[in-house]
Amino acid sequence: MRPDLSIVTLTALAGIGEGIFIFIVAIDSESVFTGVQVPLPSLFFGAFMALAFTGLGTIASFFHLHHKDRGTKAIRQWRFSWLSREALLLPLFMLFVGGYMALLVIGAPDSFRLMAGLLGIFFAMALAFSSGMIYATITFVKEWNSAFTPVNFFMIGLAVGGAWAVFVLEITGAGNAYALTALRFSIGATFIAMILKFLAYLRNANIYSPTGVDSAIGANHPDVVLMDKGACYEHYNTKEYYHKPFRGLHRIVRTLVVATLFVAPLFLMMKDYDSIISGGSDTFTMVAAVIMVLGTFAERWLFFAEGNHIQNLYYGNFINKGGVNPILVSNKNSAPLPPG
Amino acid sequence: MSERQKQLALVIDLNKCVGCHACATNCKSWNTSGQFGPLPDKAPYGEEPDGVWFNRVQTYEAGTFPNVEVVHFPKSCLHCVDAPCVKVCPTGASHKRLEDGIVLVNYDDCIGCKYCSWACPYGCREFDDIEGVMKKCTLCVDRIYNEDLPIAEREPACVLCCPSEARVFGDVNDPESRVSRAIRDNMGFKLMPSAGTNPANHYLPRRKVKIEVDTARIRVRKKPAADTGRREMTGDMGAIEDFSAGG
Ligand code: SF4
Ligand code: SF4
Ligand code: SF4
Repeated sequence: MRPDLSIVTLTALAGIGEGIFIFIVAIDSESVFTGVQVPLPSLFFGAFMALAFTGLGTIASFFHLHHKDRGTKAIRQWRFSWLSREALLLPLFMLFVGGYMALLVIGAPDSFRLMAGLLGIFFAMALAFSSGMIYATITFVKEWNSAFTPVNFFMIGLAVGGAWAVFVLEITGAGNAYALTALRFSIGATFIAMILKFLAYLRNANIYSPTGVDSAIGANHPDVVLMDKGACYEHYNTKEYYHKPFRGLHRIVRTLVVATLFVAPLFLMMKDYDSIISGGSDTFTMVAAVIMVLGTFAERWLFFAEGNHIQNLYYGNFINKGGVNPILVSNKNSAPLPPG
Repeated sequence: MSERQKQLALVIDLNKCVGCHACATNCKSWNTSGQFGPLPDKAPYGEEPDGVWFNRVQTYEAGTFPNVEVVHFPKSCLHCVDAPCVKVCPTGASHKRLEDGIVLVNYDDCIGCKYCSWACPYGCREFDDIEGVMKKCTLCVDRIYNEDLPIAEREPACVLCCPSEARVFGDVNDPESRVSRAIRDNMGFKLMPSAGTNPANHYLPRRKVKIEVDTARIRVRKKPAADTGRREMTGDMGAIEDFSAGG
């Protein structure tokens, strides 16, 4: 599929916003229960960052819509359409983040604030899930049509959000104890996100074509090739659904994703972990947080670029990865049919 | 018995289609000037023409030389019974009409998110980036019920113009309709049956057709064929056989 920059930005930034907010509220709850209050400005600034990331993502998403004036119509089909649910949950999530910030400012009781925060977490998770399900339910892009899609969206957002939460806690001087807790969890989240993304890449490398051009046009022949696309030039069907993987670009981007989203940040965060324990600061995590944003963009761009829509069969653009349909394999291995 | 649901559709005979693109050009012509128009048509005479077409004809080759046959394959929205494009639309702009099963886009509600086109496995929706809405075959809903047109012309533009009569229009749920009979008699099939979309449009397969010719009735022209550049018809050409690999 052709990666659309506005959708890449929306899913990447909203995911990070969700991750930051989950971390901030988790730290807030921990501090309320342990009785050692984390400084309120740190929480406020953290929630503000979550709102800023999500808000920027939302602004980017408007560039994808050609009729922004009808934007509110997008929530009409929330009972059926995942896109509609995303459109509904995005403002709801931002509303609760805003509410949480407001309660911090007016100095509302902890229980009120935590309640708003926990509801915000619920909407953050529902939003991440809906965003992923938009793509996971497209049966005709096999790379997307998997449980890995919403899980990867959520975990990557959480991992990057975690690094940003540490960043925020550090620059607002929240103290090393909280930074250490946040860092521990964000290392864990990054590690789990990495494993899940590796599994998704592994799955997609061995994916098989759901059907062939023979079934697409119904010609019962093993050897069907396209002669004429029926147009003088490229058009919607050859541009929207196809991203030419020229000169191994996809492989380069994948390496970039692994390096900037997982390997380098894990290394930097673990270095900080040691230095905080020995009383130092966590400057490396700030670097990690910044490059992880880059990594998230690269990951999301690749996610779209590698989506291989089966309508490409009609235009000779379907990329056959050479994976084998397990049903065909099992047929091959079964006993030959009796004669007659 | 509950009333049978009407489902209008096209049946396209791949055995008759000669790949002339008349259906595609007539579709474009009607739909750019009809009630739903206009359709984008950028640089039509330039080097990079681009525009929205509701119907496109692709050509495929089946087999390996010299045992090949050419398949011309017109494709427009199949008005799926379980249309995945309708289920994903966030605004409800994409809808399937209860009264006749036509899948339509309400251009006044569409926000141009393109989600429906991703959900269609056949690539039958095209985006109008001038109006910012999704467009697709309307099954000529502005012709088939159009009382300003003579009754004989209340058919889709692509059906009316097809020179080989490869396209038939009608209600596939009426077992006695022309389309149902065509499907029944010629092993009509659906595209990508495993996709779960249950398309209403059907195709008729390539098949061997033998035309018996009475050799006694063939008149051999006296005039040498060299003048016209055509091959001379001879008496020993007993039967004209369609070169068909499928069927
Ligand atoms: S062919 Fe595509 S656009 Fe038409 S009804 Fe089926 S899924 Fe929808
Ligand atoms: S592009 Fe229009 S018709 Fe298609 S899903 Fe979006 S709003 Fe619905
Ligand atoms: S039915 Fe009408 S809109 Fe659809 S392909 Fe034919 S001419 Fe075009």
